[in-house]
Amino acid sequence: MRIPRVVFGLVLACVALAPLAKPSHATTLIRQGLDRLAAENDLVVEGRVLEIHSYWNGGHSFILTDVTVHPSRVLKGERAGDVTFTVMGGTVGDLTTVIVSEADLTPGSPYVLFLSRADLPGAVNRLTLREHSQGVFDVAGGRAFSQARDVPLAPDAEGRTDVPGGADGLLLDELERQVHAHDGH
Amino acid sequence: MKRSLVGILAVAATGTAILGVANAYAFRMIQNTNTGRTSSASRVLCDDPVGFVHWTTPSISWGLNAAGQGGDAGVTAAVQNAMAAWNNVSPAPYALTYSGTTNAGFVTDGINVLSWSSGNGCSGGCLAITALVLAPGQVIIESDVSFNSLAAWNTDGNDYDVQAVATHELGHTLGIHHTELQKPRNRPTMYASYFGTAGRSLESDDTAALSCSYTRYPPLGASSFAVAAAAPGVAQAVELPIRLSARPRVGGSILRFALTAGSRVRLDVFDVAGRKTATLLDDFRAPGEYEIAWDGASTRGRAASGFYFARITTEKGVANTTVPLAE
Repeated sequence: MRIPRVVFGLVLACVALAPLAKPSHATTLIRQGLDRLAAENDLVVEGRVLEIHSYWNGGHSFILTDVTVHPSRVLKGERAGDVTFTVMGGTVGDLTTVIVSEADLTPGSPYVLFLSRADLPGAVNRLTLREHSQGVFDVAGGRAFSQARDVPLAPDAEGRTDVPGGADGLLLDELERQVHAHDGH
Repeated sequence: MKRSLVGILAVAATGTAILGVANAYAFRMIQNTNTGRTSSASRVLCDDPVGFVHWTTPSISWGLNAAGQGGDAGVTAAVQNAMAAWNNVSPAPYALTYSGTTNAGFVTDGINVLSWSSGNGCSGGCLAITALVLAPGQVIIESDVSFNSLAAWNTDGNDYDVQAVATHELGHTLGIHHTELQKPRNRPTMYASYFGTAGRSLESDDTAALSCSYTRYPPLGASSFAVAAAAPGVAQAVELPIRLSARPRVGGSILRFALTAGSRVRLDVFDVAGRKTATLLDDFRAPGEYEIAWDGASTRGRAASGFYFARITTEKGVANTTVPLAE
């Protein structure tokens, strides 16, 4: 029995429009290429998250989270043992603050992190992921995948909205080479 | 032929159910499962079994702190128009109201505020950022939006358009994530990229998202719950017992505990025979909530996958939990 084309179309459309729920991020970020990420961040490390600590800031006005990472490779900056940086949001007691754009970091997992100092609510000059999910690459199989690959990005000055490496990611060695090429040293 | 068509449609329906599509729209909602480890959000369907973030009141009041904005006289009207875009959507009669200017900002104080600053973690390539404060059950009790004061903001149609970005961010504050829709024209304001002044108005995909929230979580009526629940004094007064929990992750497990006061902390793992397998922490820790990964490393090499027990010892007391160690 012949199946009408319209039915085929419907079936295909159903499948095409059926993505699984997946981690993602929101807010409004301008696209940052690797050149800018490397040039405008002070410390770039590949490492594994050891510990995460969420707490109220000093003025008890915002929940912050400290993330401690053990670097296995420093792509830019001075290595000084484990690195602790701060991101906004987290859970303390019954309250959770969600930043709809922040990085997704899990203890025990490896990442490449682009870190620099910035002011956070009630916390001045903290080492942080200033570019949020654009400053984090998941590491798997020797490749690095930008966490911003599902993030809507406003075009940069050249009109580009793609993330470094795209969906296929970058070889870690290639990422390191590009960071060195743009780190300003 | 008819039977065949029904069969094929049934297969298609089953397939879409498995893959998670249950509506004709492409909107997605914000989900936070409150594991607390990070501040990220997931993008889920309206009928996701775990649900999504939502308000329990239909009336949401917003203040404006434009002190860092630079003095564009059109900003007040722009944010009011952005709020109006989300009002009186049928059948989702949420009411976003403008409560006037405020000195409050991007802080957890029970006041919903749109503000401009470069010191709220939104600098560099960040144009605007949205924070949601959640009570248990993914209930939104406060939201704040911070615009990067160092970016070029306009109300005359040039980039970056205050009203378009405010409309988009207010969509996030209502629990709506970015749509999966991809098309060149008539894009929803929750479209997955900035597209200028066309983002000032809602499309059917946006209103369907709001209706989804209203239908799944019918508001209880006008309420001042947000202010009461999020007041810093209330949060400060919460006295948490010592809590310890664990969940599996690929290659190990993640242990979570909370401290109400700074304390010396010792965290040990034991096997089912009661033999100490590992000491994960033996140090001072400040108050807050912690997560620590255990990859199975022990005094006798990598521990076998299975169940273990953890005990946390602090100056406030002791707590125990079962630890699943995954391959």
